[in-house]
Amino acid sequence: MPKILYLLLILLPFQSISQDEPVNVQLTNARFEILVQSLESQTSYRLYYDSAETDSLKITFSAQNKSIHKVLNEILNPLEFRVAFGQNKRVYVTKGTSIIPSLKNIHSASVTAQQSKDVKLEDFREAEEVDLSIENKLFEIGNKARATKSEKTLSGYIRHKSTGAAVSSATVSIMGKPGGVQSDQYGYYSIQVPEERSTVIITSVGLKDTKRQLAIYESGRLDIEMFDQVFSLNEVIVAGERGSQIKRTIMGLEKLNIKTIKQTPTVFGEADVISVILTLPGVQTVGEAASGFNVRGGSTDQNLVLFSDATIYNSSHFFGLFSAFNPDVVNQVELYKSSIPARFGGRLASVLDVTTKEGNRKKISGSGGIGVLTGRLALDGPIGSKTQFFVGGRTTYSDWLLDLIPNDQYKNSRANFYDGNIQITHQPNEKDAFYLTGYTSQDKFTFNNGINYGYNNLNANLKWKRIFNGNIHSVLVIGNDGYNFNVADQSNLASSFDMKYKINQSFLKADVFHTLNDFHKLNYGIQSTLYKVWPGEMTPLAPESITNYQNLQNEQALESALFISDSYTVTDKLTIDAGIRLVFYNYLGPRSVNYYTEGIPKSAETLTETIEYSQGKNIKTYGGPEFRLGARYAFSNHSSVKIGYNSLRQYIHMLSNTTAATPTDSWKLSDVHIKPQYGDQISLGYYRNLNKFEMSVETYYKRMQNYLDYKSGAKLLMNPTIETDVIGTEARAYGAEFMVKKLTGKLNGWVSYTLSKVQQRTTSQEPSEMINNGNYYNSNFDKPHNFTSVANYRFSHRVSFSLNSTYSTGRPITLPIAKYNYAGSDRVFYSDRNKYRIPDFFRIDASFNIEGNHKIKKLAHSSWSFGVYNLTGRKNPFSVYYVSEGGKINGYKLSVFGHQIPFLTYNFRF
Amino acid sequence: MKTHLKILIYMFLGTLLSCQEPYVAEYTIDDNTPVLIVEGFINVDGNSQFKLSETVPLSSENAVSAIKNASLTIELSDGSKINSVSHFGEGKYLFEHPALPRDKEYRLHVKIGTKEYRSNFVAPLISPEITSIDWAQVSDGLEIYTSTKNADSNSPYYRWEFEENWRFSPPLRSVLIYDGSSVRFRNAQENITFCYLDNKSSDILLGNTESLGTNAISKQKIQHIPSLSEKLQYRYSILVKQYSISRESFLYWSILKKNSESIGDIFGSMPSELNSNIKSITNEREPVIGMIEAGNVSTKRIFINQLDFEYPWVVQNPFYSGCREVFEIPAWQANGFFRDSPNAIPVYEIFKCESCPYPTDYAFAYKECVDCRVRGSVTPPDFWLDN
Repeated sequence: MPKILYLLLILLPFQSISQDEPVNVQLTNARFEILVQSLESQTSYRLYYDSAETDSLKITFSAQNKSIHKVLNEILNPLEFRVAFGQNKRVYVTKGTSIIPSLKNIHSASVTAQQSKDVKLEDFREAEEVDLSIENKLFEIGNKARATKSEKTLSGYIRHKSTGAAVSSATVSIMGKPGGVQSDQYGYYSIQVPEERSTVIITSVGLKDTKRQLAIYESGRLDIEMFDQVFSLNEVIVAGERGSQIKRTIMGLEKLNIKTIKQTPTVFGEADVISVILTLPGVQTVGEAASGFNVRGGSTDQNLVLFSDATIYNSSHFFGLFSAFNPDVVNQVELYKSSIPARFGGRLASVLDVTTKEGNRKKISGSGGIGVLTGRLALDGPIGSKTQFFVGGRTTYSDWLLDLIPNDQYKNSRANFYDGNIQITHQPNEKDAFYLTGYTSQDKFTFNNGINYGYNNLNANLKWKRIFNGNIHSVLVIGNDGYNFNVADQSNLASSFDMKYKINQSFLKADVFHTLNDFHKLNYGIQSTLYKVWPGEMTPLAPESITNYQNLQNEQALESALFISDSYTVTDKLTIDAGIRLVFYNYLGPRSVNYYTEGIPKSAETLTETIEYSQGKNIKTYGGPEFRLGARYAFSNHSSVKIGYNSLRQYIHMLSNTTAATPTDSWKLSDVHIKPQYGDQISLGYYRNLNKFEMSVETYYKRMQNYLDYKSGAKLLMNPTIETDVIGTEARAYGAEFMVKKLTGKLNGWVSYTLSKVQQRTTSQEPSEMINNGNYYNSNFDKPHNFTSVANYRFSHRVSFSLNSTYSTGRPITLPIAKYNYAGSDRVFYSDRNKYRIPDFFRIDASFNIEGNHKIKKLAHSSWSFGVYNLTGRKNPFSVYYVSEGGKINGYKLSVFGHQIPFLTYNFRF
Repeated sequence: MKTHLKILIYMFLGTLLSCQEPYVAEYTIDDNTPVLIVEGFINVDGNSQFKLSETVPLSSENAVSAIKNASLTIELSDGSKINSVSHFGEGKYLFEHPALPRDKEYRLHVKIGTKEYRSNFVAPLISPEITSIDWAQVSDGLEIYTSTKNADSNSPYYRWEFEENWRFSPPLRSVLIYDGSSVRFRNAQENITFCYLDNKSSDILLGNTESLGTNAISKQKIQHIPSLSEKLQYRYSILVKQYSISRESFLYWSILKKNSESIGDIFGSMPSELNSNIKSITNEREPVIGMIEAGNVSTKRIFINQLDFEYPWVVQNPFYSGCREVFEIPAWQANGFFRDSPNAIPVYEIFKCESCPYPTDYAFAYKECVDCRVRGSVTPPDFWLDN
């Protein structure tokens, strides 16, 4: 119920007052709302107050059978509040000035009315526009009587004023002090405040900056609401959080919020997380519409993709045309490509942390969109006062496109996908919050010749966030992530089969964020993941099928980690982050394990023995420490230099011998023979802000060990002895990334250039396991030059224009170079591995975004976005391949999006 | 299976939105240099043969470029040498030698102008005897299998080659001949109806007994003759040659096989390098293709008669698809016509009146439809046995 006092009420006639309802009160350090709830439940009185005035109150009071009048006055008078009882059992609580709730009294007490001239109308109105007064109001935190000289902690939630949704990655800083903190994905922040009188400044992407005046006596809590920046005329903010790249110690972190992602043109007009990630320096892909991405020379399986803490094993739909993330569900995207915080682990190259939106706290709302190939809808809102929900779904109706294909082979073929998200947030009290998250996605393809395949992600987790006090809070997550795919071939009954693969991980993660003092911020915790893999089950689909039923033995392993990191502020200029993560890995039974003669290539002929391990028996242990070190030195508020060193271990490997990730790539756990991948990286960066520009240069050198390559003809699926088909390689990657961002103004965006190299070599001494004689060769995704620009121009606050361009060196390729006749057949002679490159890549995309009118009270807000992908129609080759035609072997290059592709999408929210 | 699927997906994506254009790669100078290919086998049972050639550009119409000016030497681990005696065309070199000791190791030395190449020493591997060659009719043709005796201590890796010969006839049988002056009946020596063709295996056939309890090959499929094939029109013969090979050799052939099956896979599967065991002495960076093996070859020949089949074998050769008609020419025009049209062959006599003493007309057909010598040879191979 609204407890907002309208000044208008003051002018209404009030009846005489009865004040004789007795109450019991027993409160210790409680918030004002608790008192209100307590009183309202015991009496028929309703209290009216300005929450901005009372939200910093802490009440300790005890009384038995006292009148409500006495109770309120005894509590509030020492805190300089006034209590007035009005008509219809209304109680008005105001600060400093008393309200005279009867017309008669106003007439007779004009002196009081004059004294209360500092009470402004706006203080009591639900602000529709930016409420400037709240920024000038003094918030008193804690009890003045108990004030100490020491530093206090201010913590609380930052929320969106209109929806009540958490605002993550908002920067909270104290005016006049360097540094600052960022709110986490739940909108929670915690900052040290040294001075009693301070001003807190809060900034966030796309939201109006705000500040709060503090008189802080004790550590306490302040929740802050921020406004949408819908009324700004010339200013739009596109990227990241302003200024924070100078301040934070972490390197190579890219943050994008959904607004940025939605502005970027994509191939079918659907806002796409991965497509935008690819415009960032150091992130590459082997080609358009190739699943997966490569970060700083890492392979696609070295990225940890987290969607609200759920590990997504296949983050693409429809062969990579779309990513697994419904844009209406995504709140923010963080990509860690250099410094990876100690709380993350398990993959070598990067962490892509995608957080989902929380439900609207104030009303039911929704959003959706209709595009050329996909449609999506999301709905969210409160369930009671303490619980919110968010559900979203997306599906495709691409079959019409397949029917247009002239080739009969694909007529009546079907390709479908859908994904669905659900999130329920529950805050039983101000200390605890629970988040239940679920995600599922499915892709299914049916070719009319009888080949089907499909894959499926299924993830669920429960998070419990608890705030112990302003300095300590923790997050506990338990969850389960699953991925499976299947291939069914009925094109020929005699060889028909159905093959299934499945991986599942159950995990528990406990994170504690502990602010010791202004200098030390600790983050420690544990993480444990139990992996289970069903590597393959092959079933004949017809009685006449020659396929034998085969079910490969399951495998399981436990990965456990213990980590602690400290962010140590040595001086205002120097900050050091130091973290260590101890990881243990146990490959567990039941399983029969083959052992081979040491020192020579593993094969059936070198097999020495097979040992059966029982359920839960530890077969092989790996482990060791990982170090996460970083330091930042700020020359000023506008420039800093950072250095970082990271080491990581990866216990799970994607089996793939193709350049691009495909839907039938399976995952394999490290075992007795397949060693965990190990990588470390050292990086150095310089950051400078100049007026509206943010500039950065980062350089890195990275080593990777035990990366898998394969012997020729290796069979990667349904292979019970995959260890006999793999070759170990090591890799090195180095590069420099340059980026200039312009964050504000009518024209904004970024330009980045990356100069990089990634090479690998085989480590085996056996000639049959050597590639290029054991010398370094370019990795599949080595693209030395990469240039990207993303530009947005806002004509008015309804119309904006975006133009993206990308140039990169063509990826390496092994070319056939000559032919010969040998052993009765014509054969092809190949160049050294990856000696040549496909032609360079260049593409420009453009889009217009048109918003509907900005009337606040509209049933639904809509927007249109239309544009052209590949504006120049350049035929960028994805691949080069050769076919034998009449005795000659001719080369062809194939481009996936070899001409302009227009798109149109309608989006709405309500 | 996987490659097949990937190609399908990619073709799908390709047809959906893509386009393809011819692509001509620009090679570096060393990749434009021809690469030497050495093919052959040191036969410890006597008389070894090698073939030398070099690679040609992809765009060339002919894949063979023989090297004719080389000198070859077989070197034994005891230091003795055998020189090649002759070059007999198409880059083929012959060593005439008696049976060689099986306890020595052997290598090949090649000299072409100033360039020299040498293989690693290899120990001879003795192939076990082929015990049987079996065949069976399957739904889509006929399959041929080979089996060996258990080899006690040999390598578990095998490679096979085969040579096949078969008898066939064109769809029309000519009983007449134009002998330059007149049309008359053919005699037995003038047969153009029954001929013989031969073919050599072009697939790389490999087998191993690694995962078996014994080192014996049992019914390894080596050939599949598709339905309608002319090879089984009358009688067919196959000579299977079996080599026992080393692991190194097995890997080499496996890679060669795999690389040949997919050239420049559009999904980006990686071709693998061939690990030749012959290298250049003069320039160690120069690639050479070749796996020099030593040992012997076990052979076995069988014949297959169509008459023995459980189900009848229908023959349909696309080469003869235009041969359904015969044409007619009046007898009085025949001599002139056949003299001027060497591609027309008289087939049979036509009598258009009941009591005509001489044919009134001749049926004739084009040579391709009648004369088996267009494609094969009338002389049976030396080993040919009729039933």
